[in-house]
Amino acid sequence: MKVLVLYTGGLPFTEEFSAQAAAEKVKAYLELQLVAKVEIQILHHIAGADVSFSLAADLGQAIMSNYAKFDGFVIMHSIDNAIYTANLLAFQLTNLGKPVIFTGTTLSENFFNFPGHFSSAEQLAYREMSLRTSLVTSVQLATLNCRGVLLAYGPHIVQAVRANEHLTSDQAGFVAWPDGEVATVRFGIELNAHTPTRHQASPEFNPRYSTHITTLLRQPDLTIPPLPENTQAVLMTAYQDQALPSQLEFPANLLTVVTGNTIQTTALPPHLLLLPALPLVTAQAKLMAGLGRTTSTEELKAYLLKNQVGEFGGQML
Amino acid sequence: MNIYLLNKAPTDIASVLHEAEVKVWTDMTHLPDAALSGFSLNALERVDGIILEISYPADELHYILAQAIVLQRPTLCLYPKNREPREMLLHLQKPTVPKSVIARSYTSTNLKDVLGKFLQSIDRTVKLEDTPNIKFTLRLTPALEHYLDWLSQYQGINKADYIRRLIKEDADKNADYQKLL
Repeated sequence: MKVLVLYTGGLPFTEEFSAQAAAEKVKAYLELQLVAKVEIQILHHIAGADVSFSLAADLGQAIMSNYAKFDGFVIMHSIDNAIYTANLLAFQLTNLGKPVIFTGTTLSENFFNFPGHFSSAEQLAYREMSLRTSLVTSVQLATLNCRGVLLAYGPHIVQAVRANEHLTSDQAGFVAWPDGEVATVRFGIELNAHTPTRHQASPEFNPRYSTHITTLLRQPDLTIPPLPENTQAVLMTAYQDQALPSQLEFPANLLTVVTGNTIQTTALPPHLLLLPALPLVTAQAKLMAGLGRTTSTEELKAYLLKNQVGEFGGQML
Repeated sequence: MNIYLLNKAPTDIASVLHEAEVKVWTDMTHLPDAALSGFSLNALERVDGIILEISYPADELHYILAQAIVLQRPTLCLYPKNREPREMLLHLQKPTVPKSVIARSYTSTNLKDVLGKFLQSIDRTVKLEDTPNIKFTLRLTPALEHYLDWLSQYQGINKADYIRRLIKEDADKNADYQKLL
């Protein structure tokens, strides 16, 4: 089996080094060649905090260019912002018949928060071991009978569009909403029974997206403040079981999307859409991709309501 | 001691390990609940040693070996003397492979010895009796032979077993020799 590793950043080293040096470091992880025939391409060399949404489009283009040549794809991405890049890519690169797996080091800062316990050299060694373990797991997963955009940071492998960030005292990673866990790492990798399998059809790639979304987190009264001029849609998150007020004033010319388990007490205005089953990051990415496809409110609503890549649970499409 | 064993060969390696009274895990069903959740990267973190039979194909062999290399767990890669997996052995000879990962050939007669040495490299208190496969000619006086015959006939003791036991008991009691071990 052939696997393409696309490097975007996230090597746990403190010194500055070039993209070429990064490639050499990854190639030195010879254990990868035990698992599959691995090729490495350097796409970017940036820290997770500096990632922008355009990275998803670059990744999609690289995967499309190499789709026929490889059985699976592994993306080395710092854990910071990986969930954003992976979600946007999942909505840009649809009908995937092969696995595309994001991975990187998983040790959280808290792991090292014991003054004097770890020298800086030990910290780097631990982080590199964490990266290499996740990388080996991801390359193996890329050879198995699964598909879709996945996050493999640590022992839980989850669908990007069903993922939530999960931070424990010693590890950062992702957990899934129900049905979103694709596989579990123990001694080997155990695929779950509901994990979708590969198919031969070609993927579809649409890299267009819009970032002109105003996101409002947990507004106590669900009111909307004055919006930036270029706003194309509003995304609001509600508290658990928050009742939608009977008198709501939403912008008439913009679509407002509300995520979270709200209680509906009145008929919804035509420009309001409830998407209770989506994590915020997934709702953002889906809205960004939807706005890249259409400016019609009705078409956008239809796009958002359709289960595009399994984001509403159940089988990935 | 906990040992993870991956073995698709017809040789029964697990039974030999059980003789050494180590816990042998071959898949997740053998794991206690605490071990299922007590790791952050791979369940191999929870074992003291890994034994892989590398000459017979197994779905997860390469993956487990790659993880053993990364995690630097004590790992014994076994192959029969007449079934050398050349490609795998070439990989294991690369300088990036840690010294914790070793490859050893085995035969039906030396398997116990190979396993015993590996287990003792992890924990010196582990005992795995060797197979007595070294021939040794012993000349006796008629009186000694008479005594051995008597033991054998009236007490049902194998003469060779009796002599081996005498040597072992003497070795166990010899403090100078024990210091060497």
